[in-house]
Amino acid sequence: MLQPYSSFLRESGCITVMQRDMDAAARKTKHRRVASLICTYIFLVILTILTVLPFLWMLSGSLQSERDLFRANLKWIPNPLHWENYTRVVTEIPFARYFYNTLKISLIVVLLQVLTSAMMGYSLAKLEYPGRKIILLIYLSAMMIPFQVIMVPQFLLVKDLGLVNTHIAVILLHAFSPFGVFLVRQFFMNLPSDLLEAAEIDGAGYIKQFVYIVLPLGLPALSSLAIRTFIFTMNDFLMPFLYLNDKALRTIPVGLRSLTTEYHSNYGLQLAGSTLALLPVLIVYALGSNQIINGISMGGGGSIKG
Amino acid sequence: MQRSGKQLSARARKQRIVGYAFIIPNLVGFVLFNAYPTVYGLVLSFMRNKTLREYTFVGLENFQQMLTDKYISIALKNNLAYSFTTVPATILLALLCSVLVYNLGRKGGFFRNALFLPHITASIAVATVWKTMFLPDKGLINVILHQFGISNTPRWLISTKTALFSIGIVSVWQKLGYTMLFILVGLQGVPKELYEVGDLEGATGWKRFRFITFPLISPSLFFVLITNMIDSFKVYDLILQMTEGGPANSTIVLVYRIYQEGILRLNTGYSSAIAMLLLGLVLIVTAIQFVFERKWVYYSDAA
Repeated sequence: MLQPYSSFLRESGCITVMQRDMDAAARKTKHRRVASLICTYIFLVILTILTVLPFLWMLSGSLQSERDLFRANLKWIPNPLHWENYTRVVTEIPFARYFYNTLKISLIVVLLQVLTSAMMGYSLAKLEYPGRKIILLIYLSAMMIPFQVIMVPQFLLVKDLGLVNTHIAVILLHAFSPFGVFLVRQFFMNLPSDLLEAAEIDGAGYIKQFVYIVLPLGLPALSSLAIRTFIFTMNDFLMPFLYLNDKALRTIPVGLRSLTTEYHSNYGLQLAGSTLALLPVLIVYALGSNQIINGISMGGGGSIKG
Repeated sequence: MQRSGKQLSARARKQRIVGYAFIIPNLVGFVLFNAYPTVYGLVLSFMRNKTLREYTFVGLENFQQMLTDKYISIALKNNLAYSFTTVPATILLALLCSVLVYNLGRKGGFFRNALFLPHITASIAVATVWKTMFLPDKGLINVILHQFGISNTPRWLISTKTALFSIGIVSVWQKLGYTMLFILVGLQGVPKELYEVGDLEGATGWKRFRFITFPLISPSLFFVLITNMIDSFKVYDLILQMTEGGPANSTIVLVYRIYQEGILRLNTGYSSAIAMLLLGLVLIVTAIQFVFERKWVYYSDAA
């Protein structure tokens, strides 16, 4: 920006000093920028290592025998590799069954939640009827209430319904979270009403508007909700722990807990169990981390502001 | 324009029908499985049960008992200490990380994804791994510290002084990436022109952050603050798996007590009273944050 001016000064016999100073200043900021870049990388790399370290330790420890882990010196790659930890875990814990249970519950919960939240979100955002505001207020305040606060009454309710020890109980308790409705509503509020009005003029009823306009446009929010709910339900411990007593019905987190309580001193075994428990998630994440993160933040980003 | 006298236009009537029809699925489920237990819990907190079926109204007795229950005061103290240390730590660290990642542009994506990893992993598994890392003699952390020459290593989960702190470390580790992601989204929403204007005015480094970046990401920070706070009061999985409340009750928390009284001992009335305490705590802390919101959260008018 100062180029023409400085060249004028130079030509008119004025200072080359000025040019030198400017170059020096430019070089200094460039140095500073490079330095800060290097610091940034160092810091982030260290933090990444710290983040990933427990997983590496988990892998390493899972292949060590009970005696190996008792030694105080560190060996990252044990020799020999004790794969029997894994075979023991798989024979003790029906991991495939647990994985199926966890997946089944999570998928049904996601389906129910996304569907009902989408419908309710649309209704609260774009339609008018008495009681709308009150319902919104109730949902808003319900969002503040941690599930742990109502878990005991919920348990009594489930007991009365005779649904203890069923997957249905866990599914129903998870599927109707007020948070999902709120997230979707926020997003739908930002959808242009003129589009819907135009459709209405063309003769499309509200249901058609919902299916053909709102749903497609609302896909970012809905997929964000789906991903979040899926992750949460897959990893949930407390609810399956409370309700699923039958070994055949359990989910992975619960199965892992029973493994670690039964073999509370065999750390190699515990780490092998943890690895198996985390394997599906880690694989999916390794393949699609960008999609997952974009999915989560797209919907979330749209609803944070205002 | 909705009503002319008592008659509703056909349009308004249709909106009502569809409107109600669409909320019924979620509403029914919500009322049955969320709202009803909440009210039930409130009512239960004033009751005491002799057997699982017989309840008697005891007024405020449960709450009085809570005042003298030393495990409640320990749990409460632990909850407050835990929340008020891990949440600020998480947010500050996440803020730093998101600024750094943001400055890296596209290359920052790798770090963003890597740091997010702990969030999607199950708490029970994570707790198991960290528990072995915290072992005073054979665990990774102390072994590394020994190699650096530090001989007096902390006892981590075994010592009453450091147990809760150790669990706090795991919590920060777990929540960092998720928190960072949301702040990052906020950062990406800051219009670049503002930075250019700032550069012209000579705002650099700290000034730039304080006057441009911070106000514009304050909604994201507020959101992250609220959600992290509420989440921190719910802590249970980590504690159950890593210490089971020990050593010597130094890591028990309110949720732990709720579970103990309500599910294990079937004192559903007392357990509900504790639950109400937890709820009250969450509400008060959240309300306080909202009071301060006006003072530091800046909502830009461009919506």
